Amino acid sequence: MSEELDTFLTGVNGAKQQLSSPHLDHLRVKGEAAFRATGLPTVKTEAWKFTGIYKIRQSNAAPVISSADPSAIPANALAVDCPTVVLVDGAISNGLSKLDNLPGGLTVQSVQADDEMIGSELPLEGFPFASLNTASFRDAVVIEVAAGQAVETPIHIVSISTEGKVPQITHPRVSIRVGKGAIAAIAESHVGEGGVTHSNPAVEVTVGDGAVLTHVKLQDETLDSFHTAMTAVTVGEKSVYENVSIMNGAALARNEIRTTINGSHSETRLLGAYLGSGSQHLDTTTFVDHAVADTELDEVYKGVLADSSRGVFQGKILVRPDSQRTDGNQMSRALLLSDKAEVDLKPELEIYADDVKCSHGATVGELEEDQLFYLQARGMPRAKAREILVDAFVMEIVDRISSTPLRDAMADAVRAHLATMFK
Amino acid sequence: MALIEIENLHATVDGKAILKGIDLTIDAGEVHAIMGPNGSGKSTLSYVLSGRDGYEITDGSVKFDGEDLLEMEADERSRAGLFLAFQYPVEIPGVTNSTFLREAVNARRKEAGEKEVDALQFVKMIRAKTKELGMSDEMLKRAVNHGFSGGEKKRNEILQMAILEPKFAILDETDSGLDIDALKIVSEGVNALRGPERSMLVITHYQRLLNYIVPDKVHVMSDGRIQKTGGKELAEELEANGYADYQENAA
Repeated sequence: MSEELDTFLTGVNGAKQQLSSPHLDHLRVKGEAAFRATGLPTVKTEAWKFTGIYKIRQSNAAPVISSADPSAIPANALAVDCPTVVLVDGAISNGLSKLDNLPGGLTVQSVQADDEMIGSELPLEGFPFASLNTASFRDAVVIEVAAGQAVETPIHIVSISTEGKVPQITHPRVSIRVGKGAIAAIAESHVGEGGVTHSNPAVEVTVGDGAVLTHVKLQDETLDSFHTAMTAVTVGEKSVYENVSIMNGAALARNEIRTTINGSHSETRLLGAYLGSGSQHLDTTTFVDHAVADTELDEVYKGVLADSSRGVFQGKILVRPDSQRTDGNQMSRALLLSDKAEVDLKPELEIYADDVKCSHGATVGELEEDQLFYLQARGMPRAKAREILVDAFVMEIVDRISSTPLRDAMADAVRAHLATMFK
Repeated sequence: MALIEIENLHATVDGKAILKGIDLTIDAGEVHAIMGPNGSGKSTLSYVLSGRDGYEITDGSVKFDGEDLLEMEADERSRAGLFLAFQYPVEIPGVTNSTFLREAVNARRKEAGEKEVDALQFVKMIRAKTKELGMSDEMLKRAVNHGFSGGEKKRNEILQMAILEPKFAILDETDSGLDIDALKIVSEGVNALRGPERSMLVITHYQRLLNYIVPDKVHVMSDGRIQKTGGKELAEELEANGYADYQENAA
């Protein structure tokens, strides 16, 4: 296996030539060591038992050293008129980014040589793709919202995978720091231009005490691509963190979110939907660590699986012995639109405190025939009737996005995708 | 001229014969009532005509405006001008009543090659009709039939009928679950839609509804067949004597 690990690490030297400092190089070394120690997951690896990465290994993707900017941001990215930072194959594009006239208290820039915080949130050992990103990133976006600042406009991060002559792997890296008492809304769009690409983003998020962050993600990579994302979040005291992730694209995607709730009287919302068709495989894996007492979690994920697509939801909630009065609710629902579609739902609660309110539920179903007939009896063709019911199912998630411009943009993106699913 | 011609219609559900040879012709502009005891096949007839899955047509034919109705999908029948007011209107959480109605209108416009209406135009379009039926704009914002009272659900059915302007409407036990005030409002809504081009088939168990929606003809259905046809006085006779005669007939 070590030879194969070497292949995955061929991008490290090139990345180092583009972005290097004693501090960042030290981080890379740690990433590489963790990647070697962890190895690639197999279906025998508990955390990956529903998601095999055979196709990723087989693609033998090459690292990207440099690439030309696309002429524009692909049309399927979220359409939001706001400050935008664009990563092309993991490197910030000055040409496509739009970062002039940023509001006060907001900085968006490439990582500084002596940045002490980068890498502080992201787990390495045991997490092969986060480790690989840490060894291989060739640029990193750092977004900081100063303490006490309420930033009215959303901030948009667009990660574009370009089409290469051979399959390509890229390692977009983002660090988001929302200061004490600050308010911000940040969106990510992950899109591609075509060809076989493997996007391996790692996003670190620190939500300061009393801060409010709305964090939205759209994954709509091309259908030949792979997407293995790790988002690691620490939530501070009396803060609100809202993550809404919609996965539409990629042949194989894993969206992993690890949240450490480190502050009491905080609210964490993890919401999301995955919409699969064809032979897509879409995996959502979450881990929430209630590390202190008096915290709230509201977690809802919904899946819609057509054709022979496959969905996975694994959601683990850990309540530590001193984390009394934890209020945690998890719900996972999936709709199967065809006999060949499949879903694996794995809720997992690990509770060591005795005074907690925790619940979880998982349901798998089909569209209701009564409702379909009612719509048809009013003239809507069956495909349209299905689309309307699926739209309602998914919009329950989208409607909960707290930022109006991001909610509207996500609704448009989801509807455009549904229109292709039901055409 | 005949708008709908049902000939020798036989249908089964799970292999069990429910309709055993229905013959019924309704001319344009006429309102017919079908009365009958529970289990006579009244609701099955409404579902077979509107194209619901799960019914097997074993014999007979139905012509609608000269076309073979049984060859059409449920949505095609609707767009061709057939409307079923449901006995139990279906709740659809997450879909607003206005979106639902607009999609129904747009399905027709799309087929006719006309431009679809947006949410704003649509609200303007239907405001007068909602008012006539005593429905608030608030009801349009709520999810389809979700949490509606029995009366609100039936009014919502009539609103849909008013907006879609069908050629042929089947009202399946529209009176069930309505108090007298709701019954009046719903009946007024139905009567307002009567016209020389529009036919209706009113299915009911009780004569009460027919005091408000006065039919041109009344048919008594029992055991999957029409046992007797008469004028509106037949409904009164049934109210007085019940269905016992016809059930014996059937047996």
